[in-house]
Amino acid sequence: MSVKLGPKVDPRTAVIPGPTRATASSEAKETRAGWNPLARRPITQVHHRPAPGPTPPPMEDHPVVDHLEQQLLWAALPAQRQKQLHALIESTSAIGNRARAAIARVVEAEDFAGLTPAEQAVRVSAAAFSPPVIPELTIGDLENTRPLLELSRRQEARVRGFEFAGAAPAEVKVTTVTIAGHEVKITEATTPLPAGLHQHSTETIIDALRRMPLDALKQIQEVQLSSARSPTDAFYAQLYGKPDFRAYMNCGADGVVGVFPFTEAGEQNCTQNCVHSTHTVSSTLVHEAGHSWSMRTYGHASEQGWKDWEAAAARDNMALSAYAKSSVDEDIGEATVLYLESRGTPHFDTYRALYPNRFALLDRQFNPAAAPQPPAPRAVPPQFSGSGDR
Amino acid sequence: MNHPGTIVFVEVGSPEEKVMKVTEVPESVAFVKLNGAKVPVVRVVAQVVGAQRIIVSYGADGARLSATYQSKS
Repeated sequence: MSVKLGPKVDPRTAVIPGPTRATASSEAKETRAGWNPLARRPITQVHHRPAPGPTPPPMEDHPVVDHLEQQLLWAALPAQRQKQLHALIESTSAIGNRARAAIARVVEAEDFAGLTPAEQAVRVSAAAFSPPVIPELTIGDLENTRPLLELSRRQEARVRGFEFAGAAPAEVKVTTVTIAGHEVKITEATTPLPAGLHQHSTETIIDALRRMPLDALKQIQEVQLSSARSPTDAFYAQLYGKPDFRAYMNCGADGVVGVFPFTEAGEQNCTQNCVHSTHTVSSTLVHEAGHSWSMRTYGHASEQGWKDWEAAAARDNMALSAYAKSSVDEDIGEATVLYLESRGTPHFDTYRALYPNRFALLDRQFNPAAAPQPPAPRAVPPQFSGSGDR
Repeated sequence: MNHPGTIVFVEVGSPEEKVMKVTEVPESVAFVKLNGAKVPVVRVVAQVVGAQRIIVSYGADGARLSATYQSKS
């Protein structure tokens, strides 16, 4: 049977039809041409930035993807996968667009129609969820449209003899700010920067802190803006064979953040999606806040909290990002960014549907009143593959 | 606080682990200063993410002590 992919396809067709070998190319082209970027899902709120590299064209309507739930393959998916896939393809965010495009490519493949529903389900699921929905890192990957937190107090002082890591004692400017009731100290070197290097100003850091969700901001105690390189640079340059290795930021478990001079002048004024932007600084601090709360709440490596998280991640059965796969710590850091940065946006529900068990644990941390009872513990397979696993 | 003596360096994605004596590494790598106290580092895990390398230091009890984010260049 040769069924043309197009608007007239019966969504109840038993097996998703694919173009025949003879017409695959032209029909695929026709299908893409038929996507109407304004027809069904206007992207009004892109919470996720598109991944670096080739970005799929805006894709809104697709005759098969739009009716995926009416295909036989749908029944071959586990119930939770159905919920996750539903949330993803209905999402108006960039990750939804990316997933729909990936699924469309799969169902348009020449051999797809000849597969069993179970085989089709495997392919569709893999296209949507592998690689991870968030390709590399949630840090800097989310739009932030929240109003800035209120700056209610600011006090400045000069302090002599302050020692940045690896630097000689020097005079510094210490600015203490109260943001939404939380006090943070910003220590800025007054020593001139070496030629060609740049450093954030206290104002930039205040702006970054005010962009943070309050629950994350509460984990930050101090930001130190050094005018000297990190004392670890020379060692790591040698260890990793990178002569130009330069540390940009160091975040300690005590909520003290060090920022070292950097070289990219053009990025100093960048507001989004570059390593040294205010947005990325803010997002990185949210990630680090994820480590702070988990260390404080779960404690030592052997304690139950970590096991509960691993069990939740195993039940979600989906990586948060490529980086999150490296360890349970990073999984929590990435999940915290996703949870806190999306809270209050329409995308929060999408992420909750994708990662329901992790979000339930984050509810217990950040929204205890709404948190469900913890699930009964059960044996789970190992979830994390990295070397930093607990 | 005394250091147990060695630090294991791991790069995610590489099967190799490098074990170094604490005397072979700078103090700023061997210890993390937290709340005014020096905490020994026993494991350092690095991972390349996009244009950055992220280096995480762990203590003897498995606690994540600090993370260093590499500058893009």
